[in-house]
Amino acid sequence: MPLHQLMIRFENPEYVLLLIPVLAIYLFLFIHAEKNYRKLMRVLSIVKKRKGLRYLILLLKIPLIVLLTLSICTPYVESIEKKPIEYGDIESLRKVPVSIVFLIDVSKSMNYGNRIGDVRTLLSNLIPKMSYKDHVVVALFARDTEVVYEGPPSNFTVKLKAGKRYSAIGDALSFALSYTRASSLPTAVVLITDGGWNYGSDPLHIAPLFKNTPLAVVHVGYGTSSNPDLLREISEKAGGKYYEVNQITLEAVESLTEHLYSEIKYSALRLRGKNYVQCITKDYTTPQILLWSLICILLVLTVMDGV
Amino acid sequence: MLSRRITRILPIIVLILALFHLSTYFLPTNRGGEDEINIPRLFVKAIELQNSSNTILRRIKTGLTPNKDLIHSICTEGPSISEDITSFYQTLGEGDLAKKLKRAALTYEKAIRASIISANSSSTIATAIKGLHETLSLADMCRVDEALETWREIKPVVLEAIDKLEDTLKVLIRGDPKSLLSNEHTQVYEDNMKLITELLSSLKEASKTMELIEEYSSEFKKVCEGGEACSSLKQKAGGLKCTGCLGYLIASIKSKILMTSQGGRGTGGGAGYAPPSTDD
Repeated sequence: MPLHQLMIRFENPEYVLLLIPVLAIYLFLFIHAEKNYRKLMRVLSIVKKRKGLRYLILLLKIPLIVLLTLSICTPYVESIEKKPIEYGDIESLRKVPVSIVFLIDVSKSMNYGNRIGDVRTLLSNLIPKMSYKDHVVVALFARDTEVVYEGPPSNFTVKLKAGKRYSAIGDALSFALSYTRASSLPTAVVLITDGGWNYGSDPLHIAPLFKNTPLAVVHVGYGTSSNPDLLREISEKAGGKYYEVNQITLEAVESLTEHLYSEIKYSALRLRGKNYVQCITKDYTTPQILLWSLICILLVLTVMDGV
Repeated sequence: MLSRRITRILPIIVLILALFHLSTYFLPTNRGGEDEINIPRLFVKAIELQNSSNTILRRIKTGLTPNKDLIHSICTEGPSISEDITSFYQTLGEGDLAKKLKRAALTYEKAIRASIISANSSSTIATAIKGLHETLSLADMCRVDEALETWREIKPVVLEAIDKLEDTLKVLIRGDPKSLLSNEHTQVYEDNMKLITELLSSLKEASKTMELIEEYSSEFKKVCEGGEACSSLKQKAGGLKCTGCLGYLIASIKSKILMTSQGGRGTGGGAGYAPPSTDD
């Protein structure tokens, strides 16, 4: 069910300042029209008889002026509709910003069978799919984790080069976790590695801490020093998603990246309770009709005293 | 003196003008022109409905339920627009301009007819896509028996969806998008063809994948347990095309079957995993 929120706003609120000179003119005219008023008193017996009615009519002129000024201020009813985003609705997902942390393994083993090349293919297809509102953090890891890019997806130009010693998957996950906890935006983590963990903290101990942070584990390559089982286990423990990237799955790179992006973005938004889009509609007609109906009624009432 | 003359002449002028206005009201007007004016509107409406059909198909492609309002507008407005375009087509005579208009009208009519077919069958196509996504995901997770059970349930819906998409494509192929009166219209028509083709190939390839798993269920279970697939399964899996919206799942299953021969599955993880010396 879409949630609604209604608010009355003004397009030109500065025109409310007109009230000061207009009320001043009204007072000036009122004082100077005293003669005419007495003459009318003789003609309009109803006003003559009831003094209270006269004061009421005089007082009604003030709201009349206020309403006319409000009408000039162009009031409108702003209705904010919060539509929940459906799973897979990429168009709606693109309207809401998230931060995505890419943890890319650049250890020596990533050079085997052109694994790093597959990562390049994956990223070159995934990054353009992201919304310009998104925030991208690219951290390369081997023994240490180093942030090499931070900013909008459109400016991403990192040259990936593997060949460093060790592969500290657990440390990289810890880094991503602390980063996501500090981020004000809903954040998701994408771990891209061959799974050849051989340094630092145990990733299986870190994985359960990802229960409130979406994690996509992307396994690249096969054969020597590739460990898909470890990555599957990390993904299971973190409650995340597991993806295989190799020459065969890259045949469907479009579908793969679309699936990955939509999955992590939706999860990131859902976990922060921000999986909705705001639709703002402005209604100028209803307040103007209401104002002018009141103005017309007041006008008829106030002309009774003839001033 | 002058004002008196004016007061006499003015009513006469007003009277003459009023009579002239009344007489023109009863003059016959060119009714044929009205129909001609409506034709561009019909063409635009036809493309507008085809654009709505594209929106529905895009939603289906991403696994979302089709928009009911759009389906309703295509199904209610579409038939009358199609009829009007057909009757306009029949009134056209000979000549270069008439030929061009005939070709355009025919294509607009095809656009509307294809939109009606795809709108009518949108819920079937959406169910087929969702069902296939589910069954392929189960197979990818090696839950083979559950995957096959789901596949047997949705198979008739998938076949019906393939039939409907083929019907839609047959209609669209008969039109000539280049003959449409605006480049934007051509774009919408071509987008519609592309979406239908993509959905059709997705459904066909996903069905092929599931049929393969059904045929070689015991072999596939062996693959899931870390064994190697037999050569005929590998050969058939090699022929699967990883296209369309279900492409990744098909590719993932295909790689599961084919990668076994290359020693890619499970080098032993967790506590027993020994890091390679080359990575140090």
